[in-house]
Amino acid sequence: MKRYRQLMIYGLIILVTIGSYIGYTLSIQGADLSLETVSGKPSQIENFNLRLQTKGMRSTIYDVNAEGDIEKQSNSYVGQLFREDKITDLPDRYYKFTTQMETNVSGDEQSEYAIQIKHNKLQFKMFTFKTEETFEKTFQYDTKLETGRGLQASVVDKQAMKVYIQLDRVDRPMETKLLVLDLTGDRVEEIVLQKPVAPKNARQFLAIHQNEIVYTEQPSDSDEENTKHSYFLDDGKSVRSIKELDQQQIGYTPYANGRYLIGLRLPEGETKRIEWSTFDLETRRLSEHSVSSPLVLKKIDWLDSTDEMQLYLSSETNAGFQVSVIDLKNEQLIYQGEIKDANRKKGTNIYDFSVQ
Amino acid sequence: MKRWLLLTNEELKRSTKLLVLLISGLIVAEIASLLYQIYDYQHSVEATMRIEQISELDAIEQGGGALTFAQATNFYDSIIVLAMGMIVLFAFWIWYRDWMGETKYIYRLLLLPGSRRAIFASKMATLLLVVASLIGIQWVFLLLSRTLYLWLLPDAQQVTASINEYSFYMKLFYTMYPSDILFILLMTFIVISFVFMTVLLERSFRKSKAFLLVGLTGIALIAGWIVIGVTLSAISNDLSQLHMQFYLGYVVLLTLYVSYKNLRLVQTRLSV
Repeated sequence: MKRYRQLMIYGLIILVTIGSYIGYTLSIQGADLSLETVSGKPSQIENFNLRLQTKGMRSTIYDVNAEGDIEKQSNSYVGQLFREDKITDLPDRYYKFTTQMETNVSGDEQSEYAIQIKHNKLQFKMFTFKTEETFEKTFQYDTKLETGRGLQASVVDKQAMKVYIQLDRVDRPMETKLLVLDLTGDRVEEIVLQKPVAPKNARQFLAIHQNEIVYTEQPSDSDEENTKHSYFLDDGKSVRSIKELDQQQIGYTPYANGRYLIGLRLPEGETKRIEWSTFDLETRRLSEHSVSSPLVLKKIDWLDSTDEMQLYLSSETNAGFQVSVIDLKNEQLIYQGEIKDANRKKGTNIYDFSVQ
Repeated sequence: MKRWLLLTNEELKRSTKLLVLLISGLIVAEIASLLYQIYDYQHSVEATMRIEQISELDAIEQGGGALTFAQATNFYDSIIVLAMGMIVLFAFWIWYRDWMGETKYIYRLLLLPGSRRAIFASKMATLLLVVASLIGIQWVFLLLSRTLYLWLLPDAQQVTASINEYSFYMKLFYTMYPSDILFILLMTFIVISFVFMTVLLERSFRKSKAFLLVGLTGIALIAGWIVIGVTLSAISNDLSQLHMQFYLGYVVLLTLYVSYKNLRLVQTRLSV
């Protein structure tokens, strides 16, 4: 034994110290998550994926879906190497197109659009996340300008087979255009607005409903976040200012083929009420709505929505996390589920949230 | 096996002084850095209280809050990086020292009866044992540092919850997944294999040829990353994870080849 003295000393040091480390790791409790339905039924909503990550000692990722299935993924080195990402892969051909310098990419949670204007052609490509389908079409569009070189194209809205595109000249904000692509045909039409952009202003199209267009204008050199936007409605004959929206200090999103403009009012602190304003382009009236939440909601940062005007939101609660689904049209809380950790592990936070 | 164990024991014995010096140096440096951080923080709080004529709590708030454990052990990162550098140097030293001195130790090693593979394996095992013991000792010292942090700082100046939050390199080593220790040791084995290859090539061939072969291995390491990346990007756009998996597999295979070459060099080419 004396001949192996050094080996035994090192062996002992490793055994005691690494053993203490392993013992320590074994004493760490992981999260014990479960989803409890607070209101409604999970079968009434679309599936969602809420990804939570525990912080501090032994960081772990948990995926929670509407069925209450909880999938745990190790955050160890080997775990990270073989972790499954639930992000939809973009098709190669589409992805390569989006990486070209001349391509402008825009979109929302449901679809991504890639537009390239070059050599008198407008190439339009669309990828739908849910169906994983790609659509592409090339249109004749006579212009000397090119996207990626002073021209910026972004999709404002897609309604059935019509796609509305905002075309901006980077150096000339007053020359902003609204184009409409008919995906069943091969034409690019420009929608002529009743009023040109005011000098030193920039225009942002917000919603298109039948022949009516809502847009905002703000000084072109202003800070986007702190500037008050002026809202306008162009009905093809005249333009009127939408004073009701001007007074609200919130951003609006179009729903239901542009018929409704909805602005959520999410408080920064705790709340038991979700409030929003809806501007109906048909009645041209602004209405206030709200739903009560059985749970106290904290820090609402994660939102997603569907075409059916259902808002999915996730946040922290006093006891854990929650997912709520609100029917914005019928002013109703369809579902609320709370994710609780039986081990009450501190420092867990939301890593990602999406409707599947 | 017995030969390998005896040689490993001998290697450890010959390295003891150096390793005790390294470990003591690390511990002293860490204690000194921890005490300095705590003293510096307390001094700045006291200075703020005196100059501004405010309470301790106000002075702490003005100074950006209480001292977290990660802030107190901020210098540990630099010390760990230094220790990693020392390990790489030790991987060179464990070979070159055998050629030093009037009675070259390498004579005795190469003239030992039986396979020379035990010489190579004992040096590799020595380094892995040293790394594993350093990881373990650092862990125990981290626990002691936490105790020291909680003991030396008044309640108002410490963040008790922060003792589970380490600095960047600490987080890399102590992920709280025991399997990661094996992963770290695998990475150590890979790095040491390439260091050993450099030494053995330099000792076996003319310098120009040795450097050429080392350079080629370096190119193979970099080229593997590029070739796998280009090949996968031709197949699909989103295979970054597969890229990493394939590359790790490639590096492991390359390491196995390098280890085989190292053993061959020790067996057939290495001379005094």
